[in-house]
Amino acid sequence: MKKLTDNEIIDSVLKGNVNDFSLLIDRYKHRAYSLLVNMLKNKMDAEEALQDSFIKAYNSLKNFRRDSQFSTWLYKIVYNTGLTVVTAQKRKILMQMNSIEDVHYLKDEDNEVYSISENKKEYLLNMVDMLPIKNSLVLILFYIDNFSIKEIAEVLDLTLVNTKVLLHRSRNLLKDLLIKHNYQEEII
Amino acid sequence: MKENFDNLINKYLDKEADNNDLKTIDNYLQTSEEFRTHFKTSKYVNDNLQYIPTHFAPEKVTETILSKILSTVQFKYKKSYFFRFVVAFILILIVTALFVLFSFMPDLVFVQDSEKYAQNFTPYTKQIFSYLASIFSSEVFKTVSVLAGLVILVSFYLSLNSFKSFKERLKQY
Repeated sequence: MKKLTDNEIIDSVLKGNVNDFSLLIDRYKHRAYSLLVNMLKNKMDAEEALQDSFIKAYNSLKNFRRDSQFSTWLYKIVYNTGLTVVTAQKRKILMQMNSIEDVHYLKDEDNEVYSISENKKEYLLNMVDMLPIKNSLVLILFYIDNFSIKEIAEVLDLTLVNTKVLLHRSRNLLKDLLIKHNYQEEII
Repeated sequence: MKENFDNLINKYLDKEADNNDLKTIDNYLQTSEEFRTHFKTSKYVNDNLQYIPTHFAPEKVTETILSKILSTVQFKYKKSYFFRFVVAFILILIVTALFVLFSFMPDLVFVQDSEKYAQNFTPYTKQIFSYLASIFSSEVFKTVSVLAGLVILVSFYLSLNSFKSFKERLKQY
């Protein structure tokens, strides 16, 4: 059976077949939820924000101009909804880390992840969840969603140069954390 | 030095390193222990980040979202039906009032005496007034009014029947 494209589903929804929107929800819910869990560090908040994001997407669907992928447009809504929750809760959170010198912000999380991780891979992947919002999102969008730098810049509302710098810094940060814990001995 | 290493390694990982960069990297790999450590660890990070675990959305979240969307869609329809009902009701009142007025118009004194009153107006007004009076009291106008009133009444009846929630609301009274 032919798999419908995002645009075909959107056309159907806009013609009044509201139930077809469930196809888009099913297609993107896990990835959108992952982004929100990374941003909000709380599964209940993430679920609520996920519902809000899809409802906002449905209500704005007629404004989707199709000059970008639907996923880029949706993730931008998801990211902004997550930011609204963070702002509403007046949480003091670090949006971005630039280098290993900032690691003192993560001292407790780093120690906790290091103590529970059985190997370097587990430590690496667990640390992605602990990174500040923009660092972890840029990695997820680049490595999991295979987004280009341009698409990530659109979602996170950054310039192309800043997005690339952010990706490099996030990758360097993880590499420096591995070296800090002497995991490089196992790698080399 | 570390910053230079990082820039060079990132170029390599992004597949943006030119021949000169590749030669430099090769040279560093053979001569610098520090570069080798950063290079291999960065490559390890790059190769393993594709395994970042996905958090699975809760079960039935699709149904929950869809039901919320459907409830807002129905609410919109309710609002628009209610608005249509109010407009239809006002139109019916106006048409009924006009129908009653025009049905009895020939019997009204001011219409019967319209010719007499019209003499007091200027010739232009007199003509217009006489013309309007003849239209209002004509059989054709009465027939059209009756038909229009019937059409609106039938439309009102049909919209009332199709609007279930409105009927439910009526039952409450």
